[in-house]
Amino acid sequence: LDRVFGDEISLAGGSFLTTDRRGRFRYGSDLIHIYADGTLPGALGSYGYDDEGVRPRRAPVVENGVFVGYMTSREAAAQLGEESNGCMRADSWLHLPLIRMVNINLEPGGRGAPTLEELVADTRRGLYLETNKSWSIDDQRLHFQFGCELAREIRNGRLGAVYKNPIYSGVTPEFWKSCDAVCNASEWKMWGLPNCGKGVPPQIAHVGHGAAPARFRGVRVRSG
Amino acid sequence: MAAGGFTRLGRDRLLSPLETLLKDPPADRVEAFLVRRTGGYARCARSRIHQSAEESRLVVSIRAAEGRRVGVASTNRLTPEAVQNALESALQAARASPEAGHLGPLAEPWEAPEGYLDEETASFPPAARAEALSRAFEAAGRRGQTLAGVFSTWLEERAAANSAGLRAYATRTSAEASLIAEGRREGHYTPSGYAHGICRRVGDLDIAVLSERAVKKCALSVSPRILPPGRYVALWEPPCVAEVLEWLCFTGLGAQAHLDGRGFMSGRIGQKVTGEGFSLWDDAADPEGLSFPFDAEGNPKRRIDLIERGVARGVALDSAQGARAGAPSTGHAGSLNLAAEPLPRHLFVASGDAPMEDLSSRMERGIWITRFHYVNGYLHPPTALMTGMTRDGTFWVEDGRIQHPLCNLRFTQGMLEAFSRIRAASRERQRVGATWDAGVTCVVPALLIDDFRITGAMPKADA
Repeated sequence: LDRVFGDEISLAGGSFLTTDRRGRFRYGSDLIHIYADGTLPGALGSYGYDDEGVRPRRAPVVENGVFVGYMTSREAAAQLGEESNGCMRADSWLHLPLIRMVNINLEPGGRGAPTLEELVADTRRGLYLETNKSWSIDDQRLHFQFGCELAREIRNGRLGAVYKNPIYSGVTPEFWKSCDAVCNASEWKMWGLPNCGKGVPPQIAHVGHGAAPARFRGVRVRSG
Repeated sequence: MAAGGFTRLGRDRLLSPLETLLKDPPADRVEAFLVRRTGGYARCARSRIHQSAEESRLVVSIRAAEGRRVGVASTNRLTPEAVQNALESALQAARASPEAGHLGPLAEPWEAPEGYLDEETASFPPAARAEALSRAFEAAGRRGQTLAGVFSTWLEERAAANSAGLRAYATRTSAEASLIAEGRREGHYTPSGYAHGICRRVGDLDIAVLSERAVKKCALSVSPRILPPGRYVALWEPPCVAEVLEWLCFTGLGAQAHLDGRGFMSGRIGQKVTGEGFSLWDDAADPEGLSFPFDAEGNPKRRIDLIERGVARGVALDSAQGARAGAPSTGHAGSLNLAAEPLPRHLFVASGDAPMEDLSSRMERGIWITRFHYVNGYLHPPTALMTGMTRDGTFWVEDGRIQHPLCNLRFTQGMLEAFSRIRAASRERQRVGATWDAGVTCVVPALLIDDFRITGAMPKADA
């Protein structure tokens, strides 16, 4: 929420998810459910209390593809007349706390959702991308580009040739709206990042991201 | 003297608690590196200061070795008991460690210069920062704009000492401001402009001038147009050059990446890696940079020619990587942690012959870029392939004149390839502070680059 209010302009920028879009903006397809949750055991973005003394809790961010909520702090949530969901952290005693990601997770697919093997088998032509290794996004969080270590071609439901250094790019809501399948809970795993950067002076936070494999249509991919 | 309420410690105060453990060390070798930083910053957004802080931070790092087993520990306290405890922790770590693959010699005693110190900068109060920013807010407000950014002033003291008798101490002051002027939002787009300055003395940093520069850029940035992907002539202002150099440091100008074979100059020293129009060096002694005269190990910082007229010449070394390479340290140890890569920190790029105000006249049609955003150099380090966005002032130029603003652009470009296509460099250079690594400065010209690869753009509509 601090980005939306402009407090991060001096480094990472603002956000296209302005407060007037909450509850109305189509962020992704109906399969997209994203939530923040700093309580998940063993996850990098979990803790007992944030630096304002607020316990983190599960908070919806995107429900059925519609943008519904933010990560907040006491000082930011108050501007909306709401209570904090406990996302305020500093990386040490030396710095002022900022709103940081906790664990930002994509819900696995529901009843009838495929396993990864079933999803691959259901794909006529595509690429299976693994292991992110580069990341870049614009200052409004719209145009992104990510690089991976490997891509494997999918042809008629089978994994095939290996490609190195695939790069994919897109526009955030267009990308998430193109999702037409999310694997089920058996494929869901908690990932994480130990060095997410934000703030001036820069602060480093450890954050979690839980997800199952998912399929997106019409994504632009090139070789790095 | 006070720095936001914190006083300077001085040479004796920093070094004397170490004397007992250094003169009669319970280890084969002991090294200490102390960094104390005092000062503060005011961070603003939408023409209000939303974060204001004064800091005093001291880190005392101790590295101890028994044979080739090395351990490091640190403390924030400077009492003899605290440094003794840190030494014991370092020794415990050493005894639990395998032998280090490479261990260089201790830095020999030498007479290190004491750096520089500007009293006004060292004691610059938060009220003065706020006053300067408030005047800038008012000026931007008269143009219908707001300001975001940060204004900071620092005093840094460093000391290095070891059981071979080295005792070194130096100080540095710095003042830095980055300002972003914003206009009225148009959909998801907000026109903006950027200006940056970093100096040794706060008296040399003119917040009003920086603010006016950002405001002018912002005023030119209303109603941008889309530019399709393709290759274009591009004018990079100095902040663009500096951010790319920061990533070149991370991915190939330090000894670890180079000797591991991961760097873009690995196995290519003495060979042409980019164009003749590009020369890059590191020189802590050049007063145009902001530097300390010695590194974390106490070794003097030596000038390194990194790339000379397109030819790979060298990388930054500390004592361990120097031992690995069979060469002396160049004085670029950033910490006493053996796993930390030595990196260049005082970078210079050769200037050209074009006055800055004439640089755009040397392109018939092309892009003027004020700065980059979120550059990432991990796409393919052996070719220095990087991606990033433009931000806060991107314009279409024809016949040397700005025609209209552009929606922010994404580039995906091999930087060695880009530096082989430098059409011109400005005569003037600007000092730019690094984004991620405090203490790193680049003194660089603006560059006019042919065939710069644009691979995308921020959309005009997002829904």
